[in-house]
Amino acid sequence: MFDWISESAFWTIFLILHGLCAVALLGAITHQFFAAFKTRGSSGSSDFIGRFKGVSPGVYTKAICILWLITFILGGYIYAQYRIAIRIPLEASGYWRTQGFFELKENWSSMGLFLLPGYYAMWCMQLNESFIKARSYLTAMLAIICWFSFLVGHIVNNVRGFGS
Amino acid sequence: MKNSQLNQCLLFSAVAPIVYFIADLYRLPMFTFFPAVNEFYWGWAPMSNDLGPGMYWYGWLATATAFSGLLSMVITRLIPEKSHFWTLLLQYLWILPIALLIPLVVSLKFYWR
Repeated sequence: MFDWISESAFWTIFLILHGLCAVALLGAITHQFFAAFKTRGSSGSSDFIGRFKGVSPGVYTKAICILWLITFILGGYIYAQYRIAIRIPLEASGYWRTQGFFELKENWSSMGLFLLPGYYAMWCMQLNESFIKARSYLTAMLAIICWFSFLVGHIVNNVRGFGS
Repeated sequence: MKNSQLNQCLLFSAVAPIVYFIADLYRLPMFTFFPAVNEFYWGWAPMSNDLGPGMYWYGWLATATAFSGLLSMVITRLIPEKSHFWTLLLQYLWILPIALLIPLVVSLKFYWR
């Protein structure tokens, strides 16, 4: 494989794919989050915010689960390279908090992955009002985990990413 | 999907993050991966000069998936579909990521210096 492409380019391509999937996931989950919390009557509004919230939240569920899984698998694949090429120099340079936040991202996004079956089940069920609220809160949790993971990944990439 | 399958999904989601956290805290990965030499070892294996740094994360994921998958399959059959347990699970599943965040942050105290 590395006869055709340099090792650095290989990992960079996977890092970009991981980032692109994360962006698509962010878009889908943010849409669903706003739509799940929309108040009655706001969906009829024709301005940007109204249209953003006016989507039917349920249609995003399957896409979010698939995108989370793909992003997670890609992240898991490049993680082995990160362990050797990024983490060791980060620790040697004393970026302890950056590494700490990355560890938190790793653990929290794993927990997000484990929450997906329950999240999917809740969006499949016919729920009454109080459970709909609980479903919205769960969606919010996943959105927070997703945004947190994205930002931490972005910061770690800024500290030691492309070409390093 | 049948109701029992949906309940199984809910239970898996409630159990797996906790099992994952316990596996992390008590060094219980199903296997350890050494990326420098591309080798796997069952259970928790310490890093060494020959093997390089070890990765336990894949092993924690495997532990949590296998254990929680089995547990949720068994427990779903034991608890009746009409039980109040399932409504509680539906109502409070979303609290889990916040509840686990605090011990997670504390468990990473080594890095907050």
